[in-house]
Amino acid sequence: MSQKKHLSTLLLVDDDPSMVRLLAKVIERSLGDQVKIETLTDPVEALSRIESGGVEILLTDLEMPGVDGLDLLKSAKSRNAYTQVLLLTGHSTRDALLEALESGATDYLLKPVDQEQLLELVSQAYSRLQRWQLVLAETWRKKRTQPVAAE
Amino acid sequence: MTLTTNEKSAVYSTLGDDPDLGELVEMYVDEMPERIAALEEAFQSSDQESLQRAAHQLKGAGQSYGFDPLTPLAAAVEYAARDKEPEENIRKVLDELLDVCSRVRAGVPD
Repeated sequence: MSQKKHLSTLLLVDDDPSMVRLLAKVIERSLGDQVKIETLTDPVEALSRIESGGVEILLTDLEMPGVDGLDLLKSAKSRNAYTQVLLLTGHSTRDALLEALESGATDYLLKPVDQEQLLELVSQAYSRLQRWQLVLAETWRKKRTQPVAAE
Repeated sequence: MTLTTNEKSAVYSTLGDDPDLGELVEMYVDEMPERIAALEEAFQSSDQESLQRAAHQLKGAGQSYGFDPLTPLAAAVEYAARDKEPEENIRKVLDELLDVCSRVRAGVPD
């Protein structure tokens, strides 16, 4: 019996549409059997999308006007602690990077983007996500099957 | 893969012959006149923030698209605008960037 593989939802956010197109294509052609890619160039829309739930991997530019990558990171982690967040950054300040780390960023990727490194980080994020989801599901299953203690 | 950077010669992407990404490189090149206009307009109107932002995007995307010479030139414009350097300094690095921007081409050299 074949079982359909679950594709993790990856939200890719960058205010430069050309970067979104390129990164989405690079990820899709190599990891299309692991992730389903959604793309947004407006960080405000991205915030709404994250808050609606279901984003499992977030790949976002750190420096964007208005709502920035740190805002998206914090929103994603508060919505789902196991969401893997990868930050794209050019020359971010030390403070911004420390805040990203403290807020639970999984990893970062320097711009200009090296394709091999991008794929490696997304693949690692996917594996880490799978492990968290598996152990959480197992814990939930055990909890449900345990007999309820008599009062 | 050859990257041509000689003066007045075309600048080709290292991804130009990629079967999947070549089309995206073509789109990136087609959009370049808009980027050049945005950079020039920001400079002419002394809008340092827009100039910095446009240069920042070129810095990130240039080399990512295989146009390696774009990134350091765009970085120079971004930092000059950020540091509010004298207009003539910004003009100089902007001209160098615009020169390369105007010579990017899709595909591969003949």
